[in-house]
Amino acid sequence: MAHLLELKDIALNYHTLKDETKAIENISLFVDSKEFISIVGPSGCGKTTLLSIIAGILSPSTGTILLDGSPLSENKNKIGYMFQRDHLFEWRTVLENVKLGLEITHNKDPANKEYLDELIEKYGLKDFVNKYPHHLSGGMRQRVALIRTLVLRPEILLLDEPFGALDYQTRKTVIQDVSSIIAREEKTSILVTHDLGEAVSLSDRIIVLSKRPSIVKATFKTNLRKIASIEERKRTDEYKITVDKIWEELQD
Amino acid sequence: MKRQVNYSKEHLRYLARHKRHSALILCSQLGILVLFIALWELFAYLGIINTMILSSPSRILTTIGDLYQSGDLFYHIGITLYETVLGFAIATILGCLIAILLWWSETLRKILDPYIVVLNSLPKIALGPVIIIWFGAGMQSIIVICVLITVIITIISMLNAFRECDKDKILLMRSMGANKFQILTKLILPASLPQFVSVLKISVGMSWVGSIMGEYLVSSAGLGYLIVYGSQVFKLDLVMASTILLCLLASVMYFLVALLEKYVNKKRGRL
Repeated sequence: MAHLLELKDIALNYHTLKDETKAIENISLFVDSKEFISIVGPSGCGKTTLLSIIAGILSPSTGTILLDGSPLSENKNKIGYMFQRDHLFEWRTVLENVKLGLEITHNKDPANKEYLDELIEKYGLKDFVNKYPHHLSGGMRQRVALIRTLVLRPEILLLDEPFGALDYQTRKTVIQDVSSIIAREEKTSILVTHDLGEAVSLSDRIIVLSKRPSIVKATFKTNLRKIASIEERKRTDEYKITVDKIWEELQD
Repeated sequence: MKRQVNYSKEHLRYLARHKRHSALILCSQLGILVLFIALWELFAYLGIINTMILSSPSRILTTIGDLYQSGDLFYHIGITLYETVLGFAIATILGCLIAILLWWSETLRKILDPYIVVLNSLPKIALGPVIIIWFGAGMQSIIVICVLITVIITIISMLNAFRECDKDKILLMRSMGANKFQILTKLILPASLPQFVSVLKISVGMSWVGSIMGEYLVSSAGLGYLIVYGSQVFKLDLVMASTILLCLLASVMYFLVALLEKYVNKKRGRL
C-alpha cells in the first residue's frame, strides 16, 4: 500500500558567505494515513527544519517528497501547520482568526462554513467567537489555533512543539484536548517535540533523529493510542520502556 | 449599562486614593499654568519685567482680540493649519507607501538604505533655499519643506514596524498559502497599526516644525509669518500671541491623534 507521505533522501544545506552548513544529511521516512508520528532529537538537529520542508516553506537541497503519490509542490494546501505559539492575530476576533486560512485560500464553499461552525460548536468556542484572543486562556487560544488549521481540512497536520509555550497545568489539559480532537477528526499528524513523554504518549511511531547533520537514527512503535486518556497511557509499562529506550538512543 | 459592583471597603479606599492622586496631578498641572500666568501678569503690572521684550498675558489677549476684530486671526490660523495638515497628510501617505515599497523589496531597501540614512541625518531646513528656487516663493515651498521634514521619520518608523512583525506569523500565513500581498494586508499592516498611530503623534509635531520653518523662510501669511513679522518690527505682543496660538493648535492636533490612538486600542479590545 502506498504511504500518504513519503520523504526520499531529503538533505538540506544552509549557505552563508563564510560557510555551508549541512542541516539535514539524508532523511527518508514515510507516514501512513491517520497515523500520529513524533520526531525527536537533540537540540538543533533540524526537527523544525524538516517540518518546514514538509510544509513547503523550505525547499530541500536534494530529495523528493510525495504526498498521495504526487510531488508535494502540487499538494501544498493539503498540509496544516501548528506552531509552538498559537500566533493568533490579536486584532481579529476568534471567528476572524479561525477564518484566516479560508480567506487566504478564497474558500467560500458553504460546506467549509458548516464545518467551521461545527468545529466551533464541538470544541466549546461558540460563546467566544466575538471575543479577542487576549480574552482567552492559554488552552483556548491553542484550541482556536488548532481549529484555524483544521478548517482547511489538511490531510496532514504538522505540530511544531505546540505545547512548548504553555505552563504545566494548561499543557496537560491542552495535550489531552488536542490529542482527542486529532483522533476524532482522524487526522494524520507529525509532531516535533523535545519532550519524550509527550512524543511517546501521543504517537503511533517515534522517529529519533541524530545530531546535525541529521539522519534517522531509530524508529519506535507503540500501541498506546488505543487508550483514550493520556495520563493512563503514561502509567503503562509500554510507555515507560519506550521512553527509556529513546532516552538511551539519544544518549549514544 | 453601567455594571453594579459591590466593592470591599479596602477596594473603595484604593479607588478613593487613586481619585485623590489623579485630582492632585490635574490641580498641580493647572496650578503651574495659572501661577505662571498670574506671576507674569503681576510682574508686568509692577514693572519688574519689561513688557516690550516679554509682553504680558493681558497684552497677548488684547493682541489676539485685535487680530480677531481685524479678521486676520482666522486667516493666518487657516493658512498655517492648511499647510500643516496638507503637509502632514502628504508625508504620512507618501511615507507609508515608500515604507511598504521598501518592505516589499529587500533589494530596493538595501539600495536606498544609505540615501535614507543621509536624508535622515541632514537638517532638512538646509534645503530650504533650494526648495524655494524649485517650487517658488509661496505656499508650495512651505508644504514641500513640511513634507520633507515629516516624511523621513514616517518612512523609517513604519519600515521598522513592518520588519519587526513576528516572523513566525509570516511563516504561518505562508504555510496557509498566502501570497505577499495577503501577508501585507492581513498581517503586516494591521499588526503595525499601533506603531502607525505612534508615528502620527511624532509626525504632528514634525509637521508644525516644517510649516513654521517654511513660513520663516518664505511667506506672507500664517502664524510663522506673524512671528517673523512681529520680531522684525519689535512687536513682541504679536510674537507671543502667535506662539501661544501655535501651542494651542499643535496641542489640539496632538489631542486628536491621541483620541485616534484610544479609538484604535478600543477597537482592538485593549481597553
